[in-house]
Amino acid sequence: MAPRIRLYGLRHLRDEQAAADLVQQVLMITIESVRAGKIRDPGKIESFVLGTCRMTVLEIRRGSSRRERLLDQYYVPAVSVSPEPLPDLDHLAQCLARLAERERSVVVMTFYQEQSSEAVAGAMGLSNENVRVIRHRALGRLRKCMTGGLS
Amino acid sequence: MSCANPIDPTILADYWLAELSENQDRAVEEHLFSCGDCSQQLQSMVQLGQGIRTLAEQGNLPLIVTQGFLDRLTGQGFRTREYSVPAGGRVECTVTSQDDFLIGRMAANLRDVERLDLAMCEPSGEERRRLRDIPFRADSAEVILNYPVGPARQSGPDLVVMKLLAVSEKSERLLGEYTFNHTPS
Repeated sequence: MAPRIRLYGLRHLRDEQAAADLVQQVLMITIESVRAGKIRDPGKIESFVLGTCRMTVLEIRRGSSRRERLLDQYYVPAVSVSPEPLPDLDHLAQCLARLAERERSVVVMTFYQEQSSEAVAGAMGLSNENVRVIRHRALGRLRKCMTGGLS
Repeated sequence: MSCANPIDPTILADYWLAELSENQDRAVEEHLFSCGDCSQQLQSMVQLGQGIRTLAEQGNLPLIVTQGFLDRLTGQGFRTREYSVPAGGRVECTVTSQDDFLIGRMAANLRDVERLDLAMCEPSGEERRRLRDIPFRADSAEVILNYPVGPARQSGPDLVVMKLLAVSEKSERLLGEYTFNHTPS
């Protein structure tokens, strides 16, 4: 569950440390709830964790947190939240070089700033729909190149 | 992949970039929390994005960029060396070990241009490389090129003539020539 919580945190908080904190906090709340007998059906764990992620992100945004109190009660090692390794950058650079100019510019502008298609479109003189199509095509080519080699 | 109903990669990208409606967002998240395969797909895309960001920050991608991109770089403390050249102009340029990015700004009237190419040429006119169908804003009056900083640092003296070309089905029209005379620092 930790990698999924981390992804949720990255998506909503856009910060690696905040995502790591979220993982620890959500796991602590989940342990607390299991021990208290609040989750009896193991099949409900995933939806409980997702719901807790949503509530915790709202709490983080409001600036309040149960983290300190829970840390006093439970120990959850932070080792499970370390960032994933980067892909092979030399290989990725070669794959990027194979993209058309528009594709390369769109994916870099998109992922460097994690910008929506609307923001990228406005900056580059393209339509939203065009940016989405270019982004989709470029990501597909990059995935194929990264998994299938350069030949 | 064993997921019977995998999330389309386009939807995953839209989710990551916060382009879905709230209801769509929730549906995607419910699926992701119950599906290891799709969660792994998202993880792969996120790693790809982090790799792209890392490469962009190394300054070695030949790339047409936006002013917003440059603002973000300087806001993060990266040092950019910029040269602005009018159409028909020439600039003496260099790059030092202190520079993180090497930027060329080429002024041009881009109105009524359908497709734009950037040709990097020898002084004789012979093309070294052409960036085809580059993105541009018709109302911006310039093209901003991120020139790979690493190779530029390693380069000896070099004279490059950049040409912006308006391309249509039947012909191409020169919008401007920009001469960059590089000398090592």
